[in-house]
Amino acid sequence: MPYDWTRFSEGDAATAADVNDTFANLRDEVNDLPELSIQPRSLHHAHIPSAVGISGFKAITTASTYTNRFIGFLDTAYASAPSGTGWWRVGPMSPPDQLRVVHAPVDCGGGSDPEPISYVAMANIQMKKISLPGAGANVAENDVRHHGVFQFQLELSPDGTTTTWVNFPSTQRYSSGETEGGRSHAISNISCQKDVPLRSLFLAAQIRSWGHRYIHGARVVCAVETNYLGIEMDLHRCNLSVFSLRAPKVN
Amino acid sequence: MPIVIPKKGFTADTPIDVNDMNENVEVFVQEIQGSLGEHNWAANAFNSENLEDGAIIRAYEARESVNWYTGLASKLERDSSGFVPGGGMPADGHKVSTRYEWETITDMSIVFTAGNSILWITFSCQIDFSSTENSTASGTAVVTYGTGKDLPGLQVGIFIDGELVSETVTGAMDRSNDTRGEGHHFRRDPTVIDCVVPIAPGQHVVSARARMARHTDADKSYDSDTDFYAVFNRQLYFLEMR
Repeated sequence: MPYDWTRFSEGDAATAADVNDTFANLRDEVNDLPELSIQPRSLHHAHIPSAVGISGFKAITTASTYTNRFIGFLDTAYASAPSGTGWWRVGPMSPPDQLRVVHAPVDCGGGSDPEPISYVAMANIQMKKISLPGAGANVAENDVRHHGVFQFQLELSPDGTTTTWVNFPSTQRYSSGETEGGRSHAISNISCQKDVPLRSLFLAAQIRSWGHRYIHGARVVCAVETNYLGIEMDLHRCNLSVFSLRAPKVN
Repeated sequence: MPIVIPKKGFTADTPIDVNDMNENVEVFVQEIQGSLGEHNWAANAFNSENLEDGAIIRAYEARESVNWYTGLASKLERDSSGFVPGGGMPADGHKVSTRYEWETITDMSIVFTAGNSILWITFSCQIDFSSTENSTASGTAVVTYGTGKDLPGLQVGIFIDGELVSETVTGAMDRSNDTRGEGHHFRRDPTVIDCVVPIAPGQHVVSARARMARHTDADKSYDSDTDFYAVFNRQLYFLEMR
C-alpha cells in the first residue's frame, strides 16, 4: 500500500518524537517501496542494462572447395591448407576469409565464482556437394560414404591475451552426400545441397572448468570424412551468429 | 515533475510552524504515494551488478558427447558381410527403440521451476543409424552396404511436461504418399529443432524425444540389434525469458 501519512494537526506542538516518527515512517517506506509507489512503465530502456553482452554475425557467400581429411573425433590438428589433414576453417582461400566472429572479450569471471554468462553460437552451412572429380557416373560422386564434418571452435584465453582455439567435439556434426529419397539407390549423381545446422550454448562455468576465462570469438571448422583420396567437398552460403547473455545456469 | 524541493526553509532561532513542516514532508509523501517514475532514476542507474542473476533471462543446458568415429567411418557403418567394423554403439550414444513410440533421449531432460515466462528451446543432435540393408547403384555393380534403404525414418521432437510440441517434429508426419513420409531418412543427419513457448508458473520438464517412424507397411518390424536409428552428439538448451 502507498504510504498513508498523517499530517501534524493545526495548533499542535510538533514534538521531537512526532518529527522522528514521521521521518522514520518515510524512511521505512522508501526502503521498501511497494508496487503502487511507482508509476506504471517507469523503467525505461535508458535505465536498465542490456542482458546482451556482445553479439556478432558473419556470412560467407563465396563457394569454396575442401579436401582436408577428417582424422578423428577428438583430434585437434589444424590443417595447414584446405588440402591438408585435420580441421580447416570454413571460408574461401581467395580472398582469404572465414566463418568467424571476433568480438570484445567476454569475461566469464575469475576465482571460484563464474560470472552469470551464457554464450550462444548458431551456424548454418550449405554443403553443396561431395564429389570425386573425374569419376564416372554412379561411381563416387555424392557417395553416401563421404561426409562433411563440422564443429564449433571458440577462441579462449585464461588471461585476456594468450588466446587458443578450442575444439568442441560435442558440437561435431556430420552429413553425408546423399539426398533423401533412398529407394533402392543411395548413390546418386545430383548435388546433395544439404543445409547443416550447428547450435550450441556455453555457460561461463563450463568455460572456467576448461581452464579459460575469456571468450574472444567463435568460428566453424570443417573436414571431409572419406576413404577416397581426392574427394572434394563444396560449401556455399554459410552464416554464423553469436551473442552472450547475462544468464546463469540454474539446472 | 518529480524533482522534489522542500517548500519551506526554516530559519535559525525561529520556532518551526507545523504547517511548514507538513508542507515540506508532503512533497516527499506525494512522490512515494505512486508518483515515483522514470525521472526519479538517473540514466543507467541500474547496471548489471544491480540485476540479480537470472532476473531477466535464465539458461539451462544438457549435452552429451559421443565418439562416433572408428578412424575410417561411423561406428555404425557396416561392411559387405553385415559386420560392424567399429564395434557398434559408442558410449553415450542413444539407440532409438524400434517400437515406434516416443522415448526420451538419454540425458536430454531438464527439470526446472519458473514463473510466467517464455522459453526458447533448442535441440541440436547428430542422427546416425545401423542397417543390414544394402543399396545397389543403377546400372553398375557398385554396392553400398548398410544404407538402410528401407528404414522408415526418424523423428525427433521437443516435449514440455510430457506434451509434444508437434510443430517441432521432424518429417511431415504423413506417410500417405511416401515410404518415408513421416520421418527423415538421411544416412548421417545433423538436425536442429527449436520453438518459443509460453509457460505458466511452476515446475516443468523440458525434454527431447525420438521415435522410429512407422513404415508404410504397418506390420514391418526391425531387428533392434542390427536395424535402428541412433542419436549421437547432442545438446538440449533453453532460455527462460521473463
